[in-house]
Amino acid sequence: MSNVIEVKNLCKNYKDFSLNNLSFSFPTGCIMGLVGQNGAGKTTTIRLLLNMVKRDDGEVRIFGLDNIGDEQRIKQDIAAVFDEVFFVDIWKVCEVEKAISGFYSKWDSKLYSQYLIKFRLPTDKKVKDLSRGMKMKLMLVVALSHEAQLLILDEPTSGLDPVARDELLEILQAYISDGRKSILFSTHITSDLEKIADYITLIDNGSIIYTGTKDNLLKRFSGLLPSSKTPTIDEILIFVGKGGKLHG
Amino acid sequence: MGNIQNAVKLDFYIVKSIYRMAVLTYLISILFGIIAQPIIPIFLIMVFGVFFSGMVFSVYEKNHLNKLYGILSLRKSDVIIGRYLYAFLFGIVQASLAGIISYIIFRTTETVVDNFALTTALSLSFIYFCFAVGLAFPIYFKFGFSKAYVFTMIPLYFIFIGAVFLSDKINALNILKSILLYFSGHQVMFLLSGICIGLILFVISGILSYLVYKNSEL
Repeated sequence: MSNVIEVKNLCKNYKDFSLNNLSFSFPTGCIMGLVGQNGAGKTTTIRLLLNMVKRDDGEVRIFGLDNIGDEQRIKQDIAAVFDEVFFVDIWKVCEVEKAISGFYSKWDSKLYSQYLIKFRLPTDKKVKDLSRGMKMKLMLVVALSHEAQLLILDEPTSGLDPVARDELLEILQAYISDGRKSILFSTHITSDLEKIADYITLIDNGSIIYTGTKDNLLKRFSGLLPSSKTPTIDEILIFVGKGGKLHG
Repeated sequence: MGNIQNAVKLDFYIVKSIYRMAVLTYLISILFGIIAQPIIPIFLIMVFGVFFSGMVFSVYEKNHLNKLYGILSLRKSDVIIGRYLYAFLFGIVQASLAGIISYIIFRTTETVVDNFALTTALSLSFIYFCFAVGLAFPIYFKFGFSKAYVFTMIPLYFIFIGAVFLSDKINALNILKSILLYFSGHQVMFLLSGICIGLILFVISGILSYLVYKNSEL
């Protein structure tokens, strides 16, 4: 199985923060959770993947292509959902399609309309009048309407109520069900990932603490934590946040 | 070309909210045209046009559109060309409407239509539009609208003061008079020159914008 994302020795330096030699990858058809405290470097990593910021060093390959040299080609098959909606607030739901669709060669208007109905999004409502959950769904509809092969989510569940979060997880599970699509899911609400992630990359203070399968993460940390049962990702995050280290 | 076309279309949708405001400025301009001079609306509409052209940066900032531009399959050069092309087309539409409005006021107020005054006003106001937009856009691309809006017009004031100062030294009035005299017999040329000068200003400004924008972070 080929890797959808391959990151090698990725570095980015800011005055007060650095990402140090990040390396991780995960195969097509899977969900990877990018976990870390606020300010750990998750969003910077995502912005580097999308070439929204220039890397200082390292290599990023998406679908086997360089994320800078083949940026236009890659972005045809990528979609992203951020914590804040990125459409003009006075646009109506139906106008989002008019403004965006031209950028995607695989845009399917029929699919857009179908998803709007499925997610119960009113076409004549303005973006600013949608609830937080609806805004997130609208970003997902755009992602699904151009058949993106990779969905990147940056803290999509923060501020969502449990029902909306559960709905999102269902949508994501349906999205990857064909085995050809993949998801990179950054969050600090780890309970969401426990339900759906296959792989986890744990970032702390700009460095990777762990990257690999979720099961292996839970196994490797189980002996290190005081509780005898299998730890949760949340407990691991707290352990790492307090300076705990993974050995071996 | 497809991407540039899409970028222009996106800019059109981004500033959709201002079109209603633009209609209001037409009404104000018409009022001034009736009570003062029929030629006034041309200058007013083009001055307002500069403000409206910059609004795309304001809406961009307010709505976190850096994220949208970050995921779209758009090169930075496409964004720049699209933005300038949009502003140029907007300027042409504004100038055309301004010309029509002014002409109608001339007619309805039973004032003799001064074709040369119309052409001069259109040409000069269009050059002003391109110059002011060309000055503002690189600053907006570099610093963003909210940080830069207040001081965007400062270079324009310096240039204006410099021009007044220089006009004494180089006998500018006589030069201007001879230019106007030439164009009074070649009015179409006058309009075309305005468009060409505007285009040149936009190209220079576009290159500057690209230089500041190509390494910027979204």
